[in-house]
Amino acid sequence: VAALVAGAVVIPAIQASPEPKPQHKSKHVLLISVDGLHSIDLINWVKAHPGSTLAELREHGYEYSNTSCSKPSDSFPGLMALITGGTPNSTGIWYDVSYDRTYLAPGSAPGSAPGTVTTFDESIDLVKNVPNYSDLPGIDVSALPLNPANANQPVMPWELLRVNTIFEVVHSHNRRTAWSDKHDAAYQLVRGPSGMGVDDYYSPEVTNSVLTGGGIDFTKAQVGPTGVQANDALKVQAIVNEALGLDHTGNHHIGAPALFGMNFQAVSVGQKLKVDPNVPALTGGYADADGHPGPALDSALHFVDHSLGLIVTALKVGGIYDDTTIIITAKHGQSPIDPKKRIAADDSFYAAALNSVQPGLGDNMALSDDTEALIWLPPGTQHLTEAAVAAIRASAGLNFQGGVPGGKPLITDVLWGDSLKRLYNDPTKDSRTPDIIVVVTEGVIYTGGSKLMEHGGFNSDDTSVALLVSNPSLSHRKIKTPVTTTQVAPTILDILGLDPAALQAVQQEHTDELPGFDGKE
Amino acid sequence: MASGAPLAAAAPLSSLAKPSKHVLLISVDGLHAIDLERWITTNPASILSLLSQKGFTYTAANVRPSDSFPGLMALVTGGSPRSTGIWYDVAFDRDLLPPGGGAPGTVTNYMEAINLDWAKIATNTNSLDGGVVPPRAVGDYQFLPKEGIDPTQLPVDPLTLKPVYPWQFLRTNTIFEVVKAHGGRTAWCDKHVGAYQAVHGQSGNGVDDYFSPEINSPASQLDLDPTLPAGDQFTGSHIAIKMYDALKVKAVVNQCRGWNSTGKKKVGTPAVFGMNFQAISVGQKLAHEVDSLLLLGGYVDADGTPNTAIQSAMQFVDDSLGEMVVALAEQNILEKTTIIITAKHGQSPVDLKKRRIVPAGGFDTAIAPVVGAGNYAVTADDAAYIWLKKGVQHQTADVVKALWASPDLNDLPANPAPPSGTPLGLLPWPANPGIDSIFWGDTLKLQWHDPAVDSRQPDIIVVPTPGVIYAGKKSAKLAEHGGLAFYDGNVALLVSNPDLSRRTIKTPVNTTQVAPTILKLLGLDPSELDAVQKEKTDELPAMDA
Repeated sequence: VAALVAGAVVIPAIQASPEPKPQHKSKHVLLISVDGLHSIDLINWVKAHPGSTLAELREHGYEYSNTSCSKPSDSFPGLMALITGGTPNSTGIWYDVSYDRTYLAPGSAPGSAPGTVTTFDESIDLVKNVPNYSDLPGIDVSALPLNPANANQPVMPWELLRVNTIFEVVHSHNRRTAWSDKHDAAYQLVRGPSGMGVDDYYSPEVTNSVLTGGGIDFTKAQVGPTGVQANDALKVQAIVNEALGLDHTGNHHIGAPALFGMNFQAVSVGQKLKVDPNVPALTGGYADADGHPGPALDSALHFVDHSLGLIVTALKVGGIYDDTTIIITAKHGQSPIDPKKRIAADDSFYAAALNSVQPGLGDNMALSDDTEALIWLPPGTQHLTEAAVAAIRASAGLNFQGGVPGGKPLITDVLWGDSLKRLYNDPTKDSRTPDIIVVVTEGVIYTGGSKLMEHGGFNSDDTSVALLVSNPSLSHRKIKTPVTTTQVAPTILDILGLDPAALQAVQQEHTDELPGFDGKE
Repeated sequence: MASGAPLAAAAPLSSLAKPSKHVLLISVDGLHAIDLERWITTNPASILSLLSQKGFTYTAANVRPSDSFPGLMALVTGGSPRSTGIWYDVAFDRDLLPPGGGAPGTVTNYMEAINLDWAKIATNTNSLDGGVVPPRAVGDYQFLPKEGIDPTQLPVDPLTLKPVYPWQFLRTNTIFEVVKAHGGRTAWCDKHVGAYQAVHGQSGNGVDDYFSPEINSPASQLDLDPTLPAGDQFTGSHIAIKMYDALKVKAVVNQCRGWNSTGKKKVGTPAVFGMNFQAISVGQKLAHEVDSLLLLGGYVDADGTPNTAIQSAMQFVDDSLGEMVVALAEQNILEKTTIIITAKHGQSPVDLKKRRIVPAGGFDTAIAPVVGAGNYAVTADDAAYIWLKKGVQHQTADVVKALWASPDLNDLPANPAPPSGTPLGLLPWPANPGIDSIFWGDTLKLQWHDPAVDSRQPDIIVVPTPGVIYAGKKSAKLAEHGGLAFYDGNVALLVSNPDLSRRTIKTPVNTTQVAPTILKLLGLDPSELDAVQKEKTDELPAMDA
């Protein structure tokens, strides 16, 4: 195993490229999602750490400081934006735990009533809590929804996705692809509908809890052997190996992938977790409304920057640094940054409100909610949408802090019918689109617990993510034109010399490359 | 130039839209994406519905900031305030001198107050012709550059010591200048005699035919609505505002027929022309018609169901568009014309239960003790833009602290009984957190320029929780714009052209993308726009070949 330790390697002098090549093209693209990383986090970090790796990458990168991630800002659609160029309108991916009106519940007998929650999170891992972080395709098929249109076969994660991915496009040009993420089974949807897009997939389960012995998983601490940084470090090692031209295990020499990358969870946990149980000084979240990090988040940012340093070193040692474009962005942000804005809200009022429309409606609906609420009404009850919206709007518990009329407003907007269709597919035609989307006042989190922040919603802190495209041949530019993370996917193909129009979502949604990469210099 | 003469340089065109000889740009100020969708759905035989059958509807269009002045600049330059330098009709510049001269740093008024007659009329109420001498006949509101402008009301350039005319205030060129440079005729109609001459662009003469009757003038001038009390303005009546808009509709219809705006000269239909409607904006803001509850302003519910005033304004706009379409058809140029329906801005709140008046004086109470009266400027409608003078910009953090600490601006309790004297039908004020976020320093610079470098850049932008309107305590306004709220920004955008077939595009776009699209449709190079170069503004998706 070629483990790389910072400082233990000799970095060869960087050769000047004899042939001028197109400025924006490179043979390799490394995509890094630092989940939760806001645009302001990147600025604050670089300002406070001018000698850091992120500062170095920024020195020769285009920084898109006005970037919005997917809406909703859940990890699942957030990653799909980056690797397909699409929103849920083309990808069909709304949330990790979502709904489809045509599928059958896992294990259903043929002919059962259609309509089921579609759960694509850690619960579909085949073997729970394997201590050695299996990279086997460990999917628990019995936990998957069934598709009546496909002889009631289980819907594999990549079959849930309705469009192809950048990995498939790159793979189809006989170039190597790799990806690392947080769930063993669910994130295999990055492979794309062919199931074949990613040559080297490695996702050590972040909710693995065997090592801790007490059922506590990696998301419950920042540092130490059971902390999230330890889990992220496994993926960093995989990327380092790949940068050196090995596979993720470091055992086989196969050449660095044309397209590879990973996500970090440390920042997200540093934002959400109130305090690290192992180190009480590591309190989570932000210190103020302007995005200055608290101790745990600061530790997470140090860890990420250090990890990026290892990866950059590996790219240099591997001799491909000059031919690699590194993209630093985030699947999602996190809200609220301002700790004073946090309001924990009770989502049980949704069921109560809908049950008041028709007995059982609230019990049978599907609800995904974090810093927003997505509601799917069961098939046959969609005609009750308007009444359900009226009940939601009439519920004191849903509308006012503390459930008291006259309290601060919890809901900004309820999208349904025309207001929903203006932005998304018609829920009476698209089996995945929610019937009702509730946008909340920024700061509202549907939780009974202590988490400081969450994501999934539509507000600025949820969606304002970092985006830096760095390559040794670029000089720093700050681009304030509004962009969305869907523009990353076609940009990656362009950088690799491939046609962005090979992406189905780019075709369907007219996704542009990022400004500066669209040939309009 | 005669109608139909080809423009010079031709560029390759979109595979979806063939070249147009004419582009008619209509800003229905205040029109949300949802308003257009609803109208089309409920009025399938309407003109807007017909246009949408032959057009692309962009349902996730956005404009920021949402004041009329930057809103129009987005459409005609392709730029945000970062390149245009235009933040608001009433804004601030740290380098310019006040009207008449003085120390650097001045409020920059580009609204009715720069018309010739503003200072000369006791009520500060302009006439439709801005006070030009001799007075204009009703219907003749075509103005040459500088005409109708009182230069003593303009800020002064510190280098030349000359007044800064509106087009000199603008930092970029406009579509009108580009089209004109390629031999195309240009025209525009808007709401102020003087200020909107900014559309000329930096050359000062981009628009061949500029026609803009002053909206902030007494409706009695038209003598069309005898029920109006003397002195009442067009913006104070749902009925009178249509009479006002009709003046511009007539000018555009004249142009569609190949005449100039006043109908006196046959000059050929312009290559690019258009107007703004005010009727919807008034329909959204004004609680009800004078002494009548038959025409009620605003929306009935949170879903944007229009009340009677907006409904009637929509009918008026649709009928007016019908007149233009008929005129183009009679001229046999409808097939060669792209019609763009959009809006400079939206309006919020849509849900009147969220409406919460917050006395704007709270800003002075918070800021003045920190930096001293006279050292700052505030423009506040449904967001607040705060500029500090050069000597006190280092106190920005202290001002932000004072804003967060202000009891007048934060944690606003419910008020079951709004102040007496407010019109009928207004709902009690709900509780509101007040300030939602404050952009300053690094958070501001993520999207905007550094206020230490750009003399126009506000130091602080205060975004309240949706529903808040900063106004006088007794203000009866139902809604406002200027801010960054969802319904401030989510405007209608329809690009209609006989070669297109109906399509709804839900990809997020910005109204700055309209300007390069117009040039592309006319076969010109979008990169001739300064702002397109600076901000890398793309054409609208599916229009970009």
